[in-house]
Amino acid sequence: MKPALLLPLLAILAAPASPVAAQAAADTRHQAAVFTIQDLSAAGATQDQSPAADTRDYQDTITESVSAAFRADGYDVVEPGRWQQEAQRRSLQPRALLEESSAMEVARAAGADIAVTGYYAVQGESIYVSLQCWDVATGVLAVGLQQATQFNIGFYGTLFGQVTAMLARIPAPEASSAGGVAAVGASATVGGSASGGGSNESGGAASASGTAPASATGTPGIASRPAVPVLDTVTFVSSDEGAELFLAGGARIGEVTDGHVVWQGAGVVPGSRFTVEKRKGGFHTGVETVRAAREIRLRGLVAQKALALEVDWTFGQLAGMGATLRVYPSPDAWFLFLGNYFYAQPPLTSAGYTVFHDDAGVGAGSYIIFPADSWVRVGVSTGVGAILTATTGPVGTFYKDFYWDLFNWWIETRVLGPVIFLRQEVKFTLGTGLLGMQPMTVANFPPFTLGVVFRW
Amino acid sequence: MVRRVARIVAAAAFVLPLTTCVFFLSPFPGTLSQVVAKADVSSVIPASSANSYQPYVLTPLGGEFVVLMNRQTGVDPTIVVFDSTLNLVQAYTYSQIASWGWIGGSVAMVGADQNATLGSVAFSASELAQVNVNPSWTLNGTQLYAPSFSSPSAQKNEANFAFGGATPAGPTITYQQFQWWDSPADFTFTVQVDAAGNNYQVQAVYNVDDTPTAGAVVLVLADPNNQSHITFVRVPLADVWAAVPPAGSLPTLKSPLLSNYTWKSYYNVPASSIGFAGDCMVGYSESDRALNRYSLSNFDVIQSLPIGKSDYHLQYAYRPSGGYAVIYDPTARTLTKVANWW
Repeated sequence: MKPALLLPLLAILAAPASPVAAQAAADTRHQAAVFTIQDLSAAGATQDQSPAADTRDYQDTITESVSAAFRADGYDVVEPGRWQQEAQRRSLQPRALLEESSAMEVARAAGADIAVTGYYAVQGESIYVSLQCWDVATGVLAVGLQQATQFNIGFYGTLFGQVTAMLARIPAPEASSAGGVAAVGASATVGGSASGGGSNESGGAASASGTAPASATGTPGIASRPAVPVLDTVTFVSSDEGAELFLAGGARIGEVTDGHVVWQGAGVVPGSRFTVEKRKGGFHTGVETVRAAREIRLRGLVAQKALALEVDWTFGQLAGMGATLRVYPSPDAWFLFLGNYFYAQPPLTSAGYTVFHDDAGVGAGSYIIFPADSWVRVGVSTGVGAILTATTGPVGTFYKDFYWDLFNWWIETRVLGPVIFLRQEVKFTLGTGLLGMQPMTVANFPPFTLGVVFRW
Repeated sequence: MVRRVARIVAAAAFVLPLTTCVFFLSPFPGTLSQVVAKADVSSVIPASSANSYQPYVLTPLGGEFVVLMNRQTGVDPTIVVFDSTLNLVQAYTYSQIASWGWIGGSVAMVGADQNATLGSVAFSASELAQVNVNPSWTLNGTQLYAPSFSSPSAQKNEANFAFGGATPAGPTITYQQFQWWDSPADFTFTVQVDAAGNNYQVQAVYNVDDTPTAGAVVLVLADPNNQSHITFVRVPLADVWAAVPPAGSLPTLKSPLLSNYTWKSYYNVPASSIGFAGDCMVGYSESDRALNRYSLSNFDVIQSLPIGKSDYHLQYAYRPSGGYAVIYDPTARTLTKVANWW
């Protein structure tokens, strides 16, 4: 699942840390023109140069995320309308601004000190982002960022954090009136990967030009960066020792060791929701959506079971008990069963005699709704069987009723600990014994069975 | 583990009390556990005519019998007699009883004389219990062809009644009072059933107690177009019978019946399943797939026993003084005696 739009959140993130800091920075702010980060996804890179509908929706959000990081770092971001007007005046399409000379010209005309160009490509659950930060005065690449990562809920927070980190490595630009931004080398890197994907910063052309690294300038940034409201480290607590954690989609977080996993460089916003997968051999993969916090306690994994024994009681056959062995060719997914239910039919008055029945059946069943680690699951089954009946008293008679276990469905839960199920059974007797060719009913309703499943 | 067991016990403690009320329900016929005797009559009743037999439970003085009577004249066996444990006593052929003056008749009952009257011959208990013994009486040229009644104990009524609708059905019914089977009718009355003039057939009539002054007779009427639409009517015995009819003031039923007496109709209850079981009427509800007990006072259902099988063809006969019923299955050609389930 792709992340939801986070514009409101980014707007909050972009706010200066405090009114005092904002006021102090106001006089020395530099202008950054953040051009639209272009969608170059395979689907989006069509010949008509218009992004495809399924990935272009992220264009504005990613651009705004980058802009938000600039604002948070003390830059004034040039209103898009300004540089768009300049681009139109030059008959430049948005994608043409990926070209350095065009970008510099438009940025300069819009009054920016820094021009930010870039693109992204979405492929499956991954996204690749490339950003270039140009010194407009010199036309030199100040710094760049390439990032390949999983495209999930943590992506925007990660991008925000990495752009912010990237900006910290730009040498303090002088005010636009003072002649532009110093070029910097491309040796800056961002530690850690928010979502386990490959991510790094490079100087790109700046590195190739051999300019000095930012730290070499000894010049402080133009404004102190506000605290980034994301969690750099998240600790997952789990009882499943050895389990591996992944972000939904596959980016690995780590392995549970000594009951926990530390996710370095998480870059997630506290309280935001994201989904993790828990994988461990012999256990069902668990998918859990959690709220971002410094410590997150995960639910335990459900072991894969290949055999189960159900003990059950059926409405209308309560003076007895049944047992059914389930064999799962696919653990906890579908099964073959062999069951038997022995019960007595008590006499209605003292003048009667007890009748005994034994119901034996075979068949197959499958779960159809909810995964194995759910609290509630639903399944269906079918099969065939026979009920043997023996009367006692002065008339000892033996009957055989064959039936088709036409359709059973059940709902089960493990809320109480063991798996408890309630099953409705639609059996059709074939008229070979006491019952006719008809659905088997108890008080005109299909029988219900209540039971407990023991699995191993 | 202990917590798990505790949880299971708690869940069971919650659920099981809810199920106790249905503990006795079963997908199998509830009467199965009440079977006290069973007979395979396939060696006696031919499959080709199995559907034409009607079971009766007769209690002539000194004996108790289960009888299958063939409603088709001239088809063998005409009468099959079993003892109360369903042991075959004798199967009478048509030629055999014709030699005794049999002229037909499709109804069996115990008359006021406490003999078992079968169609147009009457046996004492000892005669019926023996093989190849002539009946003591014939009905002297008449036959028991219509629903008739005497006392449940067959000891108090001095007269017998026969009810008949218009032939074969009509808006009025007639009833006749006899001093003896072989005597001509003493009185013949006619009464309309309902004000609208709908047609009815008299399916059965039962004198449901032995108290002539306060007793009642229950008529079972059937819709001639739908034999599973039945109507119970309760009429005071005093309105239909007088031990010594006073001259000029004969007891007569008030017409129309359904405007003057307690009645109730049911659908999906085959008329052939209705019987008087001593303290209630009993019938089989096709829609409920259950045996129902009907109150003798207002005919409400007072108890129901699901039997789980759509056996509309089963025929029931009840011992008039209660205790058990006999179920005749013409498909399986079995006769089953089941103790009362209430």
